[in-house]
Amino acid sequence: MKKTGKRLLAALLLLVMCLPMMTGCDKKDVSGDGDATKLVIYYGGNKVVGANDAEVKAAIEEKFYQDTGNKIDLEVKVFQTSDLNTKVDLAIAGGEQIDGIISNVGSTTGLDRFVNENAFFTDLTPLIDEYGSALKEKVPQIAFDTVTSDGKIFAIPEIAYEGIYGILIRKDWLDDAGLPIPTTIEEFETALRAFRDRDSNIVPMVGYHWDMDRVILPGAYNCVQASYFYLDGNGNIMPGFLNPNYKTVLETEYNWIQEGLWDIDNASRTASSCDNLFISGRAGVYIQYPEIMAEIDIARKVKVADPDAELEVIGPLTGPDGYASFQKANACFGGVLVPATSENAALMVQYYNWLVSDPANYELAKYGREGYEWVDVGEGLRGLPEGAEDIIATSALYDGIFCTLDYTTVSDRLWDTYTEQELRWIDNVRHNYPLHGDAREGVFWPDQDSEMAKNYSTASDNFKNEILTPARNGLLNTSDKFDAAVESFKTANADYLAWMNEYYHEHKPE
Amino acid sequence: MLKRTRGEKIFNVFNIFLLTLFSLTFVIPYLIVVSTSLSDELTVLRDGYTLIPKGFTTAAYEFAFKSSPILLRAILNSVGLLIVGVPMSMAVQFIAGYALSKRFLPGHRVLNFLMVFTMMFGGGLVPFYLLVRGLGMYNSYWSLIIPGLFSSYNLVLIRNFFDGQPAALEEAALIDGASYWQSFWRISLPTAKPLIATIGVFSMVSSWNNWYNAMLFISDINKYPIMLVVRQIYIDFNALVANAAAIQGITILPTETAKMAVIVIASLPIIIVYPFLQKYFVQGVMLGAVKE
Repeated sequence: MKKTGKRLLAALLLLVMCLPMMTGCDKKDVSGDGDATKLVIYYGGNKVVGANDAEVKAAIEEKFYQDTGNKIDLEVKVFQTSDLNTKVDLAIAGGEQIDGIISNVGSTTGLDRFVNENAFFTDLTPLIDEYGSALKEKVPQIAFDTVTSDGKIFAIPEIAYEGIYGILIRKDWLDDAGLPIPTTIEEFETALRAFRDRDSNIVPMVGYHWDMDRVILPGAYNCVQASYFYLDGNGNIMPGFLNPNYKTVLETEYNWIQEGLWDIDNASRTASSCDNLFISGRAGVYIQYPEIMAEIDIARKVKVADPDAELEVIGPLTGPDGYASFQKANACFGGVLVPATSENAALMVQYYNWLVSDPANYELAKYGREGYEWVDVGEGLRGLPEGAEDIIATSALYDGIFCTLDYTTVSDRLWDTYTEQELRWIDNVRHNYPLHGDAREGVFWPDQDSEMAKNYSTASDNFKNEILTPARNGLLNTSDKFDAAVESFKTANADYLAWMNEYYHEHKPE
Repeated sequence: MLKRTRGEKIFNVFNIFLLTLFSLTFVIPYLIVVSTSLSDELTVLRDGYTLIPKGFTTAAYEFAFKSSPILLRAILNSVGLLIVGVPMSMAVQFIAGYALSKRFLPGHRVLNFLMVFTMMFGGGLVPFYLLVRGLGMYNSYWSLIIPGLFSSYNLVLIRNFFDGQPAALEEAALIDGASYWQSFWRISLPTAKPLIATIGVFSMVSSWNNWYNAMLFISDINKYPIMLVVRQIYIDFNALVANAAAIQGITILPTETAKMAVIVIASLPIIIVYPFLQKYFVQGVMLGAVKE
């Protein structure tokens, strides 16, 4: 009896343990509406559910059918970026349909993870050759390079502006001090001193050291952001912090902190605290994530807090040797990866190819139906249709959920709510300010589980802790140790730097 | 009356001081959250966070409810999950705990072992996901109720409590002709009120704060519980503000104050209920902990 009981319990336990496996065998839902092929796209980011999403979806599917003869049933599942990986992993484990995963590239948590860890993507190279003529025409090669690994295109890339940065400054404070809008580092320093002397509570400039790298010092001293990579005189790719000119950047940062020209708490201050300082009129220059649309948002808040405030977004400052540039942002920030499990890779390429093939298609997916979700108000701007005010008080009309990737080379209509000054700032930032040509952000390095990779990682951390951070915090002028530290780093990590260089030139032809 | 020694007095003063300080570290941040939620956005931006609201206004609460219609829906979802889930969870756990306290239950040792085993080893995320999905609970409220019905930790407390009850109490009822069910319902359960309150609070807090299962299993935003909404709003405020004016950048959103308002809204029900159950809670935690 006792033996039988134990056997029964063992059988029960076995059954319980097998249950999850059996539950994974449920039928996959691959069907769409009628004879339409369902395309399921997982999107990591922020999109708002709109009141007219269903109507826009129907219009897109109808137009796509008319143009290509393919019936599709689009389904875009939106998740917070931080949840996307978990959702994808579980969906794959559960045998669910995923035809596209949209995320950023160039970071370990984005699409590179799928390429890096288990290569479960579909190589899109032949499909883009066959179905992607418009993509090849409208998307620059640099974007395709960003989503290419071992000669395989692992995602359909998007294309965004490389020029996105500006320096937001209090123009009324400059006027008060009788100073012109600064165009050189020297004039900028004079302005910061005037701001500092204005009031003992004022922090002349707020923003982090990486923001400083993006818009102020490296561009003026002909080098790149410390976390970027650059091509040296011999064409070798190198980490930004090894550039000999970065020594001057560090020295200047140290001096500015010492002089009280830059926020001494820049390393520890929160982003909202930076915002608060500037909005409340306790900072004269704002470079905390100096992306132009974010700066416009901050500038508007300043105007609400102080209607008399006058602001200006200025371009890169010229250094003593005549160099002036902002750092480039990624031309390709994200893309859509088609998992190897998808049976609709060709249709996915056709869909995105259709999107970029005609501005009308892109605008339909990005902004919705003209006349319903937006109206053309001229000069490349869009406005709200009449009578939409009541709806938008509680709900968006359409937030571009079926577009999912940006193609600024196809269309980029701003809302007509921007002022002339704001439009001028945007135009300058996107088209008129020089960008540092050598900067390479988000270079994709495959995981290396080797001793040399670990040594490189440790040495990088040590370099930052011993040379970069003390200067950025105003604790120690490390410029006298800089050259020796760079040489020592290069010698100790020669094998890894050589591997990086070889990998870069083999996989990222330009 | 016992007279305290000088050493005891010093010890008490030190204890009170230390515990007050410790309590303040919990209370002050919450007071700042409440204060910020009742302050004017621009004043907060200008002057930072304060203990007393500056520029008193309820605009953040109005904004949170008007601009994010799912907020109210999420609160109702959480209340519904609590009303259905907690009694179900209590019923399952108390019945199971009572049964497991009986040594004559066939397989009692194996069942106890299996229960404790799950406290130390989990099946893993993927099998859990596959199981819930396979049982047809994906994107259903049941995915947030059924997996939370059974807590090994609570069950150990309950089992130990019933185990520690005098055997004579139940024997008297059985001799008088009561069934085990009647004995459980009329004798054992009424003596377990503090434990019921304790497990009730545990289950309520767990149900109210559960965002992770919702993140895994709920795809329809209208079924989100409040804590998942709070998390989403905290990660990206604009994501859940379904307001086109905000998307167009026409309106300056009260980002800081509305975030705080959402936190207050989400935490208020538990804060209101807790004082009423506190005395049972303190008693109950000890009740199942020691066997005599």
